[in-house]
Amino acid sequence: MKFGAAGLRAAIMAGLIATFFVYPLVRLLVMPFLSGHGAAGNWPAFVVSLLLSVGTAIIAAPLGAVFALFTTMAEGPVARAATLTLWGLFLTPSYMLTTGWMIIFSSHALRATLAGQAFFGVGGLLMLYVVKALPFSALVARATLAAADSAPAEAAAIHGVPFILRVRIGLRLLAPSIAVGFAIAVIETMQEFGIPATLGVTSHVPILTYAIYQHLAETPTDFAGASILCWRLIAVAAVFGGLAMACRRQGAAIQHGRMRPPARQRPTLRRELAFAALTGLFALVGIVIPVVALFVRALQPLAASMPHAGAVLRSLGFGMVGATMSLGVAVLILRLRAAGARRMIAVLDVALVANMAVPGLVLGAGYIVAFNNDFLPLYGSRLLLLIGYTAGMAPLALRMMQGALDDLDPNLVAAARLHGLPRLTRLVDIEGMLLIRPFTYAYLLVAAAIMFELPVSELLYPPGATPLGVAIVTLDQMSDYAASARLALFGLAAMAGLALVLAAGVTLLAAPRRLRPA
Amino acid sequence: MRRLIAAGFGVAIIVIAAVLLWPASTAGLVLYAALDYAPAMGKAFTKKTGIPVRVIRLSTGALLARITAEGHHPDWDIGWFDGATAAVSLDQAGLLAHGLRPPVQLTATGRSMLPPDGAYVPTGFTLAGVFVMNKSSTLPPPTTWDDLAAPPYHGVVGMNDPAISGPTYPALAGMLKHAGGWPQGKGFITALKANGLQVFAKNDATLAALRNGTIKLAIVQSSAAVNAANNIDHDLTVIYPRPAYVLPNVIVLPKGLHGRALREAKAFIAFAESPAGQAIRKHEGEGDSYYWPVTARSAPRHALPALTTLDLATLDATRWGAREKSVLAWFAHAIDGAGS
Repeated sequence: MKFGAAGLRAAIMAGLIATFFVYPLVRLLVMPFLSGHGAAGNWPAFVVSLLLSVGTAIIAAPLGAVFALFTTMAEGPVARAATLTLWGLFLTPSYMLTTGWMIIFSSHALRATLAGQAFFGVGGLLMLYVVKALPFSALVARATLAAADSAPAEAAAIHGVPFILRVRIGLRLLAPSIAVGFAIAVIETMQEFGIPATLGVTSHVPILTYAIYQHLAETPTDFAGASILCWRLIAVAAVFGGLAMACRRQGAAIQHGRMRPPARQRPTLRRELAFAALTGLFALVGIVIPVVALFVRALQPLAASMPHAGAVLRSLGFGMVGATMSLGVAVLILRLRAAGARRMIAVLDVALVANMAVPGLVLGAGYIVAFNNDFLPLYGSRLLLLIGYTAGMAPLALRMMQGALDDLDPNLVAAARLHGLPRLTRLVDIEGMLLIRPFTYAYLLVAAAIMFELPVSELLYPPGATPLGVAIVTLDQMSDYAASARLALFGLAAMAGLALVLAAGVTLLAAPRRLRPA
Repeated sequence: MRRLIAAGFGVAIIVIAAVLLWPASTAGLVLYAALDYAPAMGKAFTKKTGIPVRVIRLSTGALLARITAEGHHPDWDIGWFDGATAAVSLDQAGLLAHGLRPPVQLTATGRSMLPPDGAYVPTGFTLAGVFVMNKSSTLPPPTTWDDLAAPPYHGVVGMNDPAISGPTYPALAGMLKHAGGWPQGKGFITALKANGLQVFAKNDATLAALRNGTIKLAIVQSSAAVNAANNIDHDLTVIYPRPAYVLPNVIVLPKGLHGRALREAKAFIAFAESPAGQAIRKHEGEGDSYYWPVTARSAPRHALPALTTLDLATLDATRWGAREKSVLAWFAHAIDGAGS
């Protein structure tokens, strides 16, 4: 009976995935074959994007490995600042970063300089891509390094292996994680949409993701043409994703009980200073300078009344509801996995991996094609936008909740049941309290990602309900930087407010109950 | 306490979801509008007739793409935007109702804009492209399109991207027509590119580039130009090129609209053309209020020059609407550089 219920739930979940992931993708991707659309043109955007992505990865992957090495092996304030910087870069929406820099170079005097001319060209795109790709490369490499053993370093120290040789051995050990970081950087850069939608438009550099958007959302629309470009985007993700998996296998570490991670050490002053300079450079370029530019421009008077004023609260609402739905789906899938409906789990796992490889832009395009008919006339509704957000963010939510749920001992719940505790008590006072912190962390991250989401929003937002990301990019395209800066800062403030409220709620919820006198 | 907080959070999420997903009222009309006076017109129409109008403001490009994407399942009852060529493109895709009755007392210019099948109704017009400069500029004011290819204008001229700015395609079509048509006119646009033509996203971005000194001459829609010169920066001056290409603003209805919705939509069209409606459009709008009426029952705003002083030219909407896709693809590839 238990298996049957789990199987039924898995079947429902598989049905939802088939409806909201497989079906729209298939509908989109078969379009060129049905329409006989030729794939002869449209190559410049692909070639430029691929070259830029590979160029970005060549810079970001080794830098990411250095960041990973330092933040894994070193201790002290610089290592902590580097970790914070990586997360800051990861969380900053790319179009907000670009808006900050475009504000700086919006003055004619600066635009006319060599730096300005470079910024409004391939140079600017490369700089911003590297800033956004660095955290991906570094975090992926960190995951590899976290599985490292201290034994080789200890053996080298005991046997007095020369420094150069140790570096060579270290690099050989690090090579697979650099390769994985390289592949991830290529995929992330190739799928990046916020930078092309802002700087790419201004600098007139053809970029694949924006070309897909142009085919779908600008006149004249061309869905079959967009589908061909989506095929190319997915093909690149498949090739480099395969490369990443192969590299992971190459660098697989044997995990055993006697393995000890290398001890963190305080680096020499010279190395610490060098790394502080590198961290400071990325913090300045990726966070401080754009945010300061947004603040300064936001203080300037507006040409007219604040446009899209409702977008902040609307997107905050979308973020909160979408995060609830994404985490709900994630928890349900993890529960199914624990219940052991194996065949369905295999299907779900494949769908989730595929979902992570498909960018939101492609998914949104699929939704336009699939849900504008008599059977499922959802296109243009807020519900479809929310479903799109959920489908895009569920894998992230799942990855974030997986560890916490795996750590939850099933015997704990069984013991509670044996002691006759009601279901609500088990759910709220036991499981809820154990999961509250990872859940809140995941909830905030997913809510922020949805609130500032751009590609799905651009393609699926219902007329009259402009999301925050779309509003900011639209204002950027009109060169109304004062209004876009205000919207961006209001959005960040609203998200910070939500984080504070949830933190207060968690503190209240997780506080231990007072012991009652016997 | 824990259960109370958890329940409070759950209720809050349900309330937010309900607010976000609450279905909009289906009564009345849904107006997709790219013209800034549309919300005021919707309110005035509702006040006069009692018919509710839900006005959804979109940029012209976004509006056209949205109508195309919705296809044969339209969520709109009326579309109101700049560009007869765009209306023809929608009509050729089979998305528009036919047989709409033209306004009464049309002027000669208005009559020249009428489609043969009644797929759209002209409600006024602006000019697709005019020149805007700083009054203090040392640049000689150009008079014709050909002047822009001359050496004094090297690197100082900017225009909108026709792929992003909906009303810019007619301006581009006008330039092509002036230079011999399609594809002969390509040479002129290529010459402009060789002379340093810069391309910005939309009217506002091009005018911002003019004001911050990136360019010295902007080619933008006349309504945006006159609004900027009269209300935003008095140092700007508008020059009307010879010829100046007419850009009709049009109302369209979706194919299949019938019954009460069709009657109400036709009542809205009549209101838009009435003297009361035109007064609202001229006084409640911002940049878009600077239009020339197509009926003899109304006069344009004072800031606009008399039509007799202009060298007006019209585009064959059917011909240029059919070419839109190939012209834009060529422009994106050869001129903008961002072509995919």
